Amino acid sequence: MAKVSYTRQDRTARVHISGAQPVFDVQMRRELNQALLQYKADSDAWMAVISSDGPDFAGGPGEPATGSLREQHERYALWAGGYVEAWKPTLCAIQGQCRGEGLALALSCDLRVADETASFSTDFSGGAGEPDVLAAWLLNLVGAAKTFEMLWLNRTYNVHEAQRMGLVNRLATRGAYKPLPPEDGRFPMAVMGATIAVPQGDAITAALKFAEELLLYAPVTRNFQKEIALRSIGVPFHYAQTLELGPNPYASEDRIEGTRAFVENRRPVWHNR
Amino acid sequence: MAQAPTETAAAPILIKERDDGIFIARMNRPERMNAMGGGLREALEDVWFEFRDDATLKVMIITGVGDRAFCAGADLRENDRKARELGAQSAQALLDAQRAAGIAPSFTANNFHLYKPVIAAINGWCLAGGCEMAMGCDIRIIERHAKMGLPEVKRGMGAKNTTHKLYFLTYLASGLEIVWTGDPLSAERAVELGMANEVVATGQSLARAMEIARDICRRPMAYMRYHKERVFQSVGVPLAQALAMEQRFPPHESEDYRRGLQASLAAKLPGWPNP
Repeated sequence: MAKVSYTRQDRTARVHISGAQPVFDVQMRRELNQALLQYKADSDAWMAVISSDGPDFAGGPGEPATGSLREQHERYALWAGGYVEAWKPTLCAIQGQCRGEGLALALSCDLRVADETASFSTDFSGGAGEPDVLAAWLLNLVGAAKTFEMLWLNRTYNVHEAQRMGLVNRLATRGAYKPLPPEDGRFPMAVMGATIAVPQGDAITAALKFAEELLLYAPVTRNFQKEIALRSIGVPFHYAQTLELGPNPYASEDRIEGTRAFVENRRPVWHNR
Repeated sequence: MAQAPTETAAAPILIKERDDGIFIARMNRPERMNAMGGGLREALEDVWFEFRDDATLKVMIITGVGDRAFCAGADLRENDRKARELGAQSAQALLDAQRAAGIAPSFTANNFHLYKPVIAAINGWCLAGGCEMAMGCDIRIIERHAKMGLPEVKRGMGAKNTTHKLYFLTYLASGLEIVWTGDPLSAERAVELGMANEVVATGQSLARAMEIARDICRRPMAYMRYHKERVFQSVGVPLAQALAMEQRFPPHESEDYRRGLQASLAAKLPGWPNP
């Protein structure tokens, strides 16, 4: 049986699913939900990486869809990929198959790092037990045209196809670590990358490396951007522009620190306030 | 007090030109990568209203002087100097002081219910507030060497005004990656993701924007406005409501429509007026 653990090192939290072939059952959904709530409540955690053991990230439900509709509803009340309202980043590390409810969990994360072995499928077979959160996530992540294609054609997409669609943000490749930028406050303005090189070429190490890079930047801004992004969904355009959400980065200590560090040629020290 | 635009006859900070219904605004601080300081921000705020409220102007093009930058966003050195002058000990106090001085953060065309077409000719670095401004336009033509990015996260700022426009253009899958890494996109990648419409050779963005603007000017302006208004008003509302809105303010009841119809019937080029 898979187990979900929550740990934290410095500012990076780890939500890790252990077990050779993670499949979703009631117990695992509960543990996953608890771990995400723990991350939400942990003010020292500024970023979370969600990962799993084994050759595959995660598949679909591990139990048959039986019983009354009420029983099925209760069993699936904590669908992986359901909404945990945490206004700070979640990164997903994906290797091997990422299907069905496992895909829903990956899509519910904000960024996805995958290795060369990763493949993606909604795994929609027309039976009960398919995660009904997939349509909502896909629609907002890749648009309606790709959503229908993924849901109905039930193709398996390799990591390169998924990256072209935008479902994979960084491809883990084998290579030496890229050094962090020098502490001169002049963050390099190189073009946004598509890969992350790590010695083993694995998704988990790459996701942790990506988290380390992102932690160089202002948490207030990151958290604000996520809240704006998700709360603007379904809101009229001009109203969305007036939304005053979360701590305003322009009124934050980090805004003063970011500008001064730039002028003084040093790396900023963020306080997340 | 908001700083007055430092326009002079020799070197206005925002060069404004009119060409047969096309309004061209060129940000002119190339030595500071056309960053919004020295009165440029205030001049830009005024120019959207000038375009919006002048019935003789049909299409606007915004671009930067030089080949290095479209606009690099806020002038951080000037911002830091102003913060020290204001003596604000906290960012909240600074924000309050800036608001009291009338330094509004809203400088993109999206903020003003501006329903005429606006084209950004991106001739170089297009960063932060400059990128927000470009995303606030309706069509973006980008030169091959130019790059677009929202690096606010590297400075603790917000990219507030057009953040949701980014997700509207690129969907969530890429939007958060762009704002969280703060890394700029190449011209080709910007087009792939929907942040720009077309890549052109270096030095050609304004010429291409003029071609598009002239083409737009030949179309009925009532329809252009109608489409822009409908697009923005269709976001975030139920589909049935968005479809029902099509019945409001029908352009086919406008003078434009009648003239166009008459011209078509007479096989003449339509000389569309402003509605």
